[in-house]
Amino acid sequence: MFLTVAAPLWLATASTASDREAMVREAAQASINGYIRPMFGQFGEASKATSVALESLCSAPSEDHLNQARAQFADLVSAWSRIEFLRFGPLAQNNRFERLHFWPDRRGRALRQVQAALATTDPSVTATPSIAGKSVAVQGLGALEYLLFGAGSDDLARQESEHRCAFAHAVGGNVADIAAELRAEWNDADGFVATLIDFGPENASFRNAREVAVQMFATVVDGLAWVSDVKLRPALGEAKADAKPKRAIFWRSGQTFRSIQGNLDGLEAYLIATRLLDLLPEDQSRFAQSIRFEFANAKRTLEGIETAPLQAFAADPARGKLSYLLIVADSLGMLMEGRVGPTLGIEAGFSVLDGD
Amino acid sequence: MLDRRSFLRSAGAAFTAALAPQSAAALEASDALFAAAVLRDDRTFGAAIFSEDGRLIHQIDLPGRGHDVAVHGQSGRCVVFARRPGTFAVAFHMDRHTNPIVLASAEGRHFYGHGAFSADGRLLYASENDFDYAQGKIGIYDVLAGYRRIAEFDSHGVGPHEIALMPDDRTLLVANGGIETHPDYRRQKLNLATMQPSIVLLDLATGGLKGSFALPQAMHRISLRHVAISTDGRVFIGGQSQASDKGRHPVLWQLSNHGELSPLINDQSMNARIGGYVGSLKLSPDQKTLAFSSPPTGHLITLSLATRNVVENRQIDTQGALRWAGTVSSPSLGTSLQVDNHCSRFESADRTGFRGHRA
Repeated sequence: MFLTVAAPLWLATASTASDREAMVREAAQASINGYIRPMFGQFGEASKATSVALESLCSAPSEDHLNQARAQFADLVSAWSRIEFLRFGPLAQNNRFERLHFWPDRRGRALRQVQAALATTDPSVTATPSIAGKSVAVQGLGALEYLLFGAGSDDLARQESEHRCAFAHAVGGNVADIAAELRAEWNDADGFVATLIDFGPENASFRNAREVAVQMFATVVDGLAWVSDVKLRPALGEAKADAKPKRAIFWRSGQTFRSIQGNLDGLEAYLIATRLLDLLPEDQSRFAQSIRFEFANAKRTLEGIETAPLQAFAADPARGKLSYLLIVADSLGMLMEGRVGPTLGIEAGFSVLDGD
Repeated sequence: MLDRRSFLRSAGAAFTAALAPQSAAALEASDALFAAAVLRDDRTFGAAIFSEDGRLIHQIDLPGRGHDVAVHGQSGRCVVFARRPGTFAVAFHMDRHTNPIVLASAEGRHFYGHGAFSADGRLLYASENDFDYAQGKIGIYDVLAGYRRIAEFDSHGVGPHEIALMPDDRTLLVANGGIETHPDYRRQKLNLATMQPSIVLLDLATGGLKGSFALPQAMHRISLRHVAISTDGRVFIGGQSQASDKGRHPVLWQLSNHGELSPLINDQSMNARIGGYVGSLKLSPDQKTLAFSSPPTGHLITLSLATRNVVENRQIDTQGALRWAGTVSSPSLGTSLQVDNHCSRFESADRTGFRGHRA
């Protein structure tokens, strides 16, 4: 989403241009240190742990090892969902986002390709270096989920699933490799971090403080839209009869709500880390309270869902809770765009929403 | 799909035939009218016709936000399309007496916000999405039969956006933006890693593919969306980068009459300044300069086509519209209307024709 700035007083609390620049530079640095680096660190650790679990499973297949690998996958989903919305800089480069999770996959390309590779015992999917060069659809979390939880996955506990296990192990290794690159790039003070902090007229990505503030703000707004438009609304459908639960993220592994929870927790924590809400003038601080109140609402609603994803989207009472969650996520987006944005001088303009 | 050599054989003639300057280009450029989708102060949507000095001449209501307006100057017909993924278009007339006709998109299709009339004004073409199969379509409407949809062509790509008639009047140029969207997912982009934008030429008699042109694979994330075509058949294309480093690759391109895409300007600092995003392009009536807008950065830049130098660079406000009448400025419509990025100009000759037609 593109956002533009409506008024020159775009950060109402800062008095001079250099104050504003310093404030934004500090906010960006704080969001990197306080949120981005720790969360990419966690994703790196979770991906390594998944690789180790897959290694054990493939070298000594057993029910225990399969259960451990599946549990590790769930933790990996949690860690992923806390960085999934940071789609700028390293995660946006080299198709990393799509390589890590090619989703939504409305026309089932990933499933078809993964099933074809299994059916033909394609040797090129069993080694990390060769899988990294294959279609983005077969080298990330979606493929790994199908291999660990899809039809025939129980066979992983037995010797005869050698090819499937090696495929999963290769994907796990690829995810860990990409996670390591992401972590290294965010930890490198001279790379994208410098691009973000050292904004200025010579900087091709961020020419001024305003563009950095807009990037942080848009990350939250777009992340909320991702929850509403992609994770909730398509699976809910307009009415109960139109529910399409298989459009839910990670339904095969039953991790749908963990993924949404991770997004919402992550978005709130990131927003706090950016200090954007602290920049609101005194008389507008109630919007910050409303936002925290809505995030708490969302969290409570999700925690109250005890049904598996495939049933939850189609049947009450869980469906009712998910419909309410959609309203909360949309209203968070509207609060950010309609209230917080304009107060900070950042407004989604009539002519400028992306791609027209 | 044709290679460049086949393209020269099949479409080259069209380009060559178009080289003779059109009479319209030589006409006096003043006294132009403009049509655009608008947002009113009360947050309702409409489409408006206004004069060069910002005087409102006519406006109609729209059920939702509009985008571009296709105009047929000789008959005075206009069609405003819903912004993607909208499902309505409204046909209206420059005179205030003909009632607007609301068109609904066909089952399984939505509009992309752009369209074009055939030269004789009897057919309307609209860029559309067959969303379940993610295939671009060009819907064809019979103007005199109340805009009945009579056929469709394949756009030979995903996400067709702006379409325009080539000067031979027999070829339709389609900018396939390459981005897959589905109304169930609102405006989310579903295929950024695999998108393949293209510029396509269609034979309007048959729907046949006359040529298809793509950028090098390293630039596959530059969505080719908007076009301006000179009276001698030169094609200028404005892209919108979906890459992480938006300023890296050129977004202004030219399709030469040899069927080759080349950067119109390849200036890193220019790319960065406009944020890798071109919103709308228009040629001046004398065809010597090209103006383009970059709404996210607020720039409106005019290039000399002879030197490719920037002759004017304005920072306009976010509600600025691209008008073309020698100079360009934010519309002075008062405080009651905000004008869409796209703005269609009626040639003064068109108005004369239109008046004659009415009489």
